[in-house]
Amino acid sequence: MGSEPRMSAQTIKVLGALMSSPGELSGAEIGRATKLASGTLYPILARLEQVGWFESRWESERPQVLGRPRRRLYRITAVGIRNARATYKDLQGALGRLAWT
Amino acid sequence: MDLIGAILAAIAGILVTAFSKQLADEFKAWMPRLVAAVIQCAVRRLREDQRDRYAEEWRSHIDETPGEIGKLIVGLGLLLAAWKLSRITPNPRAPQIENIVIAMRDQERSKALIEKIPSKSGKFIFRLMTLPALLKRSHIINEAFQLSEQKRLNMNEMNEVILRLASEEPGDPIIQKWAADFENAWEKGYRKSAAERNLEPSVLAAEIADARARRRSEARSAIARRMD
Repeated sequence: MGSEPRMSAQTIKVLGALMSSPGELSGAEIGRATKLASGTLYPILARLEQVGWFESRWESERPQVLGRPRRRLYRITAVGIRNARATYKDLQGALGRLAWT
Repeated sequence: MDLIGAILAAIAGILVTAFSKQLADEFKAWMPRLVAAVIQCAVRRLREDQRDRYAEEWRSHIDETPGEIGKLIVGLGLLLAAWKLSRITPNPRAPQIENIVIAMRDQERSKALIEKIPSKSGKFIFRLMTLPALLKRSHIINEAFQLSEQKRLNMNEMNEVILRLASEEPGDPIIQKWAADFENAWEKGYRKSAAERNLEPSVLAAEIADARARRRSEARSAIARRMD
């Protein structure tokens, strides 16, 4: 496991997409939900997976059965949920302070 | 004149319509191949152990993307993604740096030993007996060359391993020579880059010592991180 990922606006969008999703999402679905370009999305997914905030797996069906390439499905882990909540809390705190200044 | 102009404009319009349809058909026909080539190009930028995964994952992303232009835009974005991925993901073969250095040293030692054997038959028997070790070393060294060509082998870290081995094995002439060569080359480069500033020799010496300590400390922590 690596260290904390950089909390950019795009990373927060990706975390938000997975947090608000009841199940697993493919890269294309996360891209549509966050409106992030593929060039930005995949490095973020890789970083979050590298630090253990996300997990991914292949669709269980074979491509021959599906008639298309298998999708890689991402889901947020318990560690990811905990850290994402802490990040949102920090952000809320920071925004609250900003509103009062 | 107006009539001729109108006729020419009409002919031009018909031609443009006909050819644009033709061009659009061509574009549609070639697009899957073009997108596949873009994905292949992106995947080639990745580490070998990541290529199969991302090739399939990205093909499925393209498959889920509507429209030919949309597919191409996603494909071009994947080139950028591959470039970024190749920079952020640690190289699992990097812990082999020590193996690379040891293989290179053993290669040199082996060469020196062969030179000492007087007869041709003796040399042949030595080579035959050490063939498995030679093949293993050659494989590791070839891999190291490939990694350094792809700029995936951090030379600073590799040199740090050499310097560490040099301090552990003061009697090893090969490692000692490599360590000295590296330090001399590094210092020469530093002095060259600092030449414009016309520093006092003592100030420059202190700066070099600082930079050396910083370089070594960074390399040591990078090696430790990779070994995690």
